[in-house]
Amino acid sequence: MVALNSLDLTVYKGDLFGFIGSNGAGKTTTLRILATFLTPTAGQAIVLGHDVVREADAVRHVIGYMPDFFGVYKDMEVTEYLDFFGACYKIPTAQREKTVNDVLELVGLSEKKGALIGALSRGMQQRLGLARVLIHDPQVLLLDEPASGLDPRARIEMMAILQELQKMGKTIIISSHILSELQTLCNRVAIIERGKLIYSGPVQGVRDQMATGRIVWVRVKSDPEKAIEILKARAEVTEAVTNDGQIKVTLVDHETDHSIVAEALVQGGARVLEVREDELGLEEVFLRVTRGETQ
Amino acid sequence: MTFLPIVERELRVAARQPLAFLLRFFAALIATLFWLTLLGARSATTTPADVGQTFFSVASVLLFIGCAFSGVFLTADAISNEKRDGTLGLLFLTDLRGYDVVLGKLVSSSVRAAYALLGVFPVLALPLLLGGVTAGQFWRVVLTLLITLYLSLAIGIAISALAHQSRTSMGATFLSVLFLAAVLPLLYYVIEDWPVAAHVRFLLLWPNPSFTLACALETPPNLTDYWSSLAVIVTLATAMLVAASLALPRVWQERSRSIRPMRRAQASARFISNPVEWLSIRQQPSALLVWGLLGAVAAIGIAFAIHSVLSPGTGRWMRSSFLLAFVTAFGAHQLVKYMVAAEASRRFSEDLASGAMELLLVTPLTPRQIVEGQRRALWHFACGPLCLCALLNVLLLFLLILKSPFGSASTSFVWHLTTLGGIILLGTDYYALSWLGMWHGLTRKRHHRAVLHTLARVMLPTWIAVFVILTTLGTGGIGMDHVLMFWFTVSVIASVMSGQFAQARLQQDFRRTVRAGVEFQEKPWEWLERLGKQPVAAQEPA
Repeated sequence: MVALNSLDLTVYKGDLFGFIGSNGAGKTTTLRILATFLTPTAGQAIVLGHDVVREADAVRHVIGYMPDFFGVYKDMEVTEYLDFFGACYKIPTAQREKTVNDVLELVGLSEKKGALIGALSRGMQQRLGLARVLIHDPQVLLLDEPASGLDPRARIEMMAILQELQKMGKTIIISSHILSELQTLCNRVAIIERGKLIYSGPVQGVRDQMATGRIVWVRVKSDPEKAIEILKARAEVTEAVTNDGQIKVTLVDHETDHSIVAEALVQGGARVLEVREDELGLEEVFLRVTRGETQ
Repeated sequence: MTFLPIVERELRVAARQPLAFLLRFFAALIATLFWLTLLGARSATTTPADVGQTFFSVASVLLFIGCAFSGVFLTADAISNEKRDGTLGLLFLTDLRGYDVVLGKLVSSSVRAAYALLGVFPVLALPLLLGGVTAGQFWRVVLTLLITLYLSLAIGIAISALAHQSRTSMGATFLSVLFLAAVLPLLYYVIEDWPVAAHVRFLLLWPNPSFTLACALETPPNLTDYWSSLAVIVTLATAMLVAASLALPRVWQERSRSIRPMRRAQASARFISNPVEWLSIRQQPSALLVWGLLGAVAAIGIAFAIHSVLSPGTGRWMRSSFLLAFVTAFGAHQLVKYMVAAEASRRFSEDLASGAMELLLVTPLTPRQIVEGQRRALWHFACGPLCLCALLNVLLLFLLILKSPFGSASTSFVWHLTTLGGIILLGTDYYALSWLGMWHGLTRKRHHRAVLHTLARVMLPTWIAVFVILTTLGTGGIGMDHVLMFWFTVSVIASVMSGQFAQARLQQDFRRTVRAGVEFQEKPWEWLERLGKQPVAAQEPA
């Protein structure tokens, strides 16, 4: 079985990079390779100039990897857990206490220092996982589904922390199924399916590239049939139909400015109440470009 | 509506698994080979009836030991494992009752063992053709073995329903079986000559399956004791299952309460340079428990040893006390070896299951450091108990020199050899158990399986070898000293080789094994499936 097939991906320094794909598309495999846990059978992966196979040790110092499971020791206290991983990253004992306090503050767990991990809520355990990732101050964060299973408040808080980390200059690669959040959070995204890269670039770019035609919703004061006739007469309009009391207008391409709709209706004598462009979301783009196929 | 749906499902699943059939086949094959060895080794003066009787007795005892301790490895972690995974609650969200789950787990865990036992019974019946064994003896032994298996599995299930950690449930099951099969008869032996013995006889002997086996093998049969003992054991086992069924719907929700902080007493260990060593030391069982248990066993051994010294001359009491001290010391050795196997494999096995091992491997810690940390923590745990066992043997040796309880020089030599060999084996077995334990912990997510495989690899081959040699002794005329020399040599070689193998694998294949994420070497039938297939090229560089 081939998990990744000719995946060619570049993430720039300071990016908050969204990694999108169906279950089994190869997201976790990619992150595990970058984290040096898995070794690719062919090809090369480089993190901050270090090859993940030949210079795995150097890579481990600059990355922080958070898998899609907790991997916690439930009978440990929060500070002990972070202290343990601090020791794994060879942070000097004298410096460790301050580092632990700093990362706990960053993720908002300062009040839970002495709590047992097993007694923490799922959201708190997820935050603790993020604190573990940050313990050695890595430059690149690899986060596999960091918001999965969290309630809306915890999700919003997690996203806020990630934005804060981006401001601190960290490069973050985040895989998630919650595309609406990636849309607002990430500056660049990649979509993969069956181990193949479908798109990689800015979030706006994926919309532009994937959209076949702009959709505009119109509400008129009266006589929608007349308005449809006016719109259909324009060469820039592919289709105009009534839908739930509104008129759905499809333009020929995404280059066409939607102001021509209002202009045509006013010129035709229709009384326009509202003209609204249908924003193509990342979720819709994702559904359009993938077929939901898994390995 | 289906009666006992989980039982039905587990039986269907077991019926489709090749392992159940392969186990039956191999169990019968081993028994047949043993039988043929005995036949081939018999001297001209030995009658076929003698051979049949020897085979029947030895095979019965071996099977009995297997049945008695099957609960430790088959059922002791069956329910506690589900509790740790949080899946037990899902079952109770349905209409299932406690007895559904308990009986389902009992069936799923025992069906392979029961199959293997059924495969051996026809071979066990072969002595009937040669004489020396009656049909009544055969059926009584068969019934005893089945009931012993039932008792052991029921104990495992009952403890598993109450426990949370695998080592707790396995240890408690092991001790419970040991209590019933060894401590109770020992107690009876001690008070045998006292007037009170007649009144407590039924309490000490009837719940004891080894007494049932002794009754089953006896000629002429002691049927009153046999049936009484059997009835008590069945009642006891059933009561345990009922108790587990009643308790389970109440205790499965206690998961959050079962999470307890690690011991503060060892917090100073955080300054140890290797974090894995620190982690492993912190999660070891409490010293109070370990030393309490070992101290109790050692105290019994020492008490018998002192009694042996104080007994006048070389009479029955002196020899008996020495033998009991020896058996107790032997028990202490086995207990320590079990603890070493359990502790060596636990850390890696649990980290593999929870995913923590993946997190450790993306830190700058090297596999060598991880293994070294675990090895040092294990030594921290085992050093004291190993020394205690060695001291017990030294005490026995001192007794042998001081009192010479067995008179003749050749017999004394055998005992000297056994006692000294025990100390040497303690060292070599520790070496093998520690490395193999770590290796099996890394390849098996279920801790009880890792312990079982570790013990089986280190202890079983030499035990089988010595049983075969011992049984041929009666028919072939080999000296006991030669048998012992053979045993020690084979044990030392086997332990060193097993340890070397595991050490090499841990040092070379640590990452690859964790990456594989599958329990390879887990399925004994895989080698059959590999026959005729091309070898698969390694996909990852070393």
